[in-house]
Amino acid sequence: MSVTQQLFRRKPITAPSESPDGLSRKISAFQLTMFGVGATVGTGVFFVMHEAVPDAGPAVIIAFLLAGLAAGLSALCYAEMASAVPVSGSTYSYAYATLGEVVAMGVAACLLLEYGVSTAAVAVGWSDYVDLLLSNLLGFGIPDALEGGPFEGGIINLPAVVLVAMCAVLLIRGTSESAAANAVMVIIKLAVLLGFSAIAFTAFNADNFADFAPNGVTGITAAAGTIFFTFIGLDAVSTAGDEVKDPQKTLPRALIAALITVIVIYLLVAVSALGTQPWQDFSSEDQAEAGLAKILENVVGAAWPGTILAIGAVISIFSVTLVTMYGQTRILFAIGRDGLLPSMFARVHPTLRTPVNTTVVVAIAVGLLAGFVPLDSLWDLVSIGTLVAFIVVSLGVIVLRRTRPDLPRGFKVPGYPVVPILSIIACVYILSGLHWTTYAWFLGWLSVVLAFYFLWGRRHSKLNGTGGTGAGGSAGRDAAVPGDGVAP
Amino acid sequence: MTVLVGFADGRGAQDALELGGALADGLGIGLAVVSVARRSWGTPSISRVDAEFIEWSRRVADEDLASARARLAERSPHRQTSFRRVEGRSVPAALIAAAREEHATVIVLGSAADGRLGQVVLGSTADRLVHSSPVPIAVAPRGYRAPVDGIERLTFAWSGDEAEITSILRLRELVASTDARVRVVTFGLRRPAMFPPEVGLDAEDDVFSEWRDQAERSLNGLRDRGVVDSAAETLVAVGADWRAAVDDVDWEPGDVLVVGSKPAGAVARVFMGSSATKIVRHSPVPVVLLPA
Repeated sequence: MSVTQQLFRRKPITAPSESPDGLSRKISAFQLTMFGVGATVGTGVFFVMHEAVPDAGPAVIIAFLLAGLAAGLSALCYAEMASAVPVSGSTYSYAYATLGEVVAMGVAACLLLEYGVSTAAVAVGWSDYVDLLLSNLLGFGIPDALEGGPFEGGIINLPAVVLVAMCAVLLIRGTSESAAANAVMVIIKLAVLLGFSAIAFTAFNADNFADFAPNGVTGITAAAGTIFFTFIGLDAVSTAGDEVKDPQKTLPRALIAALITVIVIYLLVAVSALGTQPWQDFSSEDQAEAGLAKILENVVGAAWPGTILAIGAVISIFSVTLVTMYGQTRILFAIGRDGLLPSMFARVHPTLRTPVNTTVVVAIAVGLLAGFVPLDSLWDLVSIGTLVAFIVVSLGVIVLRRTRPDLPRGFKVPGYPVVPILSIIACVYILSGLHWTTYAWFLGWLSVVLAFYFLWGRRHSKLNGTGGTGAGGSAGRDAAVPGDGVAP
Repeated sequence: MTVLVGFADGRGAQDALELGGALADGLGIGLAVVSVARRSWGTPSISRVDAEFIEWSRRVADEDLASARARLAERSPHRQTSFRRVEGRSVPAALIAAAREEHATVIVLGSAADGRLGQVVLGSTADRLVHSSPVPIAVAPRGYRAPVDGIERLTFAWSGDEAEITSILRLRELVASTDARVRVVTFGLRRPAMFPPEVGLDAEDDVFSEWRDQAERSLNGLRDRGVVDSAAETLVAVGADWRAAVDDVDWEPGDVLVVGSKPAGAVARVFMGSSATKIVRHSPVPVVLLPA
């Protein structure tokens, strides 16, 4: 096998096993919409204003719309991919099945980066809200030395590290957030955000929107790049699209409904927050931590609304950290199972029945990031990883249409090829607004992962024994991804 | 060598006698029925209340023994059985002392009265014995009746922990002279997945399928290493919860479930892990808990 063939060999497709706890095939469009909203409205919006408003000013509203549009277009491409390729639904698996091993490794690098960094960043944000909560309730906060890393004049961000450790212990024990707990978390998040908007609107001052786009288009694009990660999760609608009747109609409706709901929630938060103070105030030092709670305290002139918001944030951010850490362990596990990482990553503890090694590695890496790296240098790295992964999926749709037009697709992107091309253009446009340091970090990380792949993974891939051309069938779905040749 | 039945007349007492008899027959050893009379504190009271209590306690124990004798005479008149009253400050301690004196192979108890029919429920005595007994404890499900063909198969619930290999070897030793077969089952759960973005909804299936492969390899390894004989049945049983996992196994009337223990400190004692506790709770057949 030539090196090129080796790099672009594809993983044979096996149908995902029927899971007894999987979604029922009777899921309605409304349920799917709510599922998408719950998966998307994370906790990024609790911190992102402080990072994005200084770039775009009040035009951050446009940045939210731009980021939402790109995420929606990508989600449509995701949905076609999910319906055509019967694999587990991870971006990494799609890339492996359609574009080849080296692309899958690149996507894996993106996912690991975005997951690792977002978990760390969210943990740092959690630490800020915990500090505010302690100050408001007990009258003393966490000492500065233990509330920030060396770059911020402290020693370590201890609460963030403690949160990561707690989540790691729960994951090692096999704790899983139940559907009911997830629903409660979604309700808490929405209640907190809507409560924030309701109170913030009482102090609304339209004059704050006068200087609408102080930094012009450049500022808006940069803010869209920072904001983009808050739309991660829409793909949940795409991967669950298999479970609806008539996906061709239901899926785009659910996707658009979820996207509009999410955008409305974010815009309510953004507009109400911008109405309370001049945009320049968002970059002030005192709003660097637990920004939304600080805004409420300024509006009401009392600590109680901020305290309530902080309680909601502390609870819901904890659950988000648990889920994102879980996601990262499962990505590493999948890569390990494919032989592209040492086998220790694919080992499951016999009695705990969880991938303990993988969880410990993730916890250490994320804990170090959360404990020592300042938050504001992290968010853009999450967005860049996601944007690149989404571009790969959109590209995958085009490639698959050309190489396997015969594949049965439960859902086809409307307006092909315009939508995938628009999706790529939108993602590239948002990428263009990111700072060069973000690119440097990203390319550095990508180089490390790909170097590891060339030196080690390529030789140990499970496909070495099979020739790895990707022939495979699937029970239940008559879909096999090509068994011959190489992705172009 | 005997099978020792801790007998206190009431619900569950008959079940313990049935299981004790079946185990004694299966292992080809004697049956000893023990009833415990509670001793009071060593300090005599002025009004002799303590002496009255001891008398009452002895009388109750003797009545229990008479009841056990009558029940066994009716069910299995030909079995050689010894009946004995023992005294102790606590029932579990008295049973352990009696087990040592009788060189008991196993202590048999009935389930607590608050369980459903057919369910194994550890009562307070069994629960304390589980944490302190140097000999195996057998608990009969509520309403248990000995199978016509006796005990034919012992199913060891193996968590995959190497420390439990000793328990499997002891179990083999125990049944070496009998016709009973040994089966080893690893129980597992299919955990629900969480829904992290871009990871898919089947993230947990990968982990589950790897765990299953590992569990099957480990079970095959037991045969390769001679821990169980080459004909021994081994299987992985799974479910969405512990009840479903236990139900995934085919159970027959002559089955007994055997659960090993984790070594707890320097002393070998019966001490169940949390998974074992749940498996026991859902067992439809009698359970034997081995000390580490």
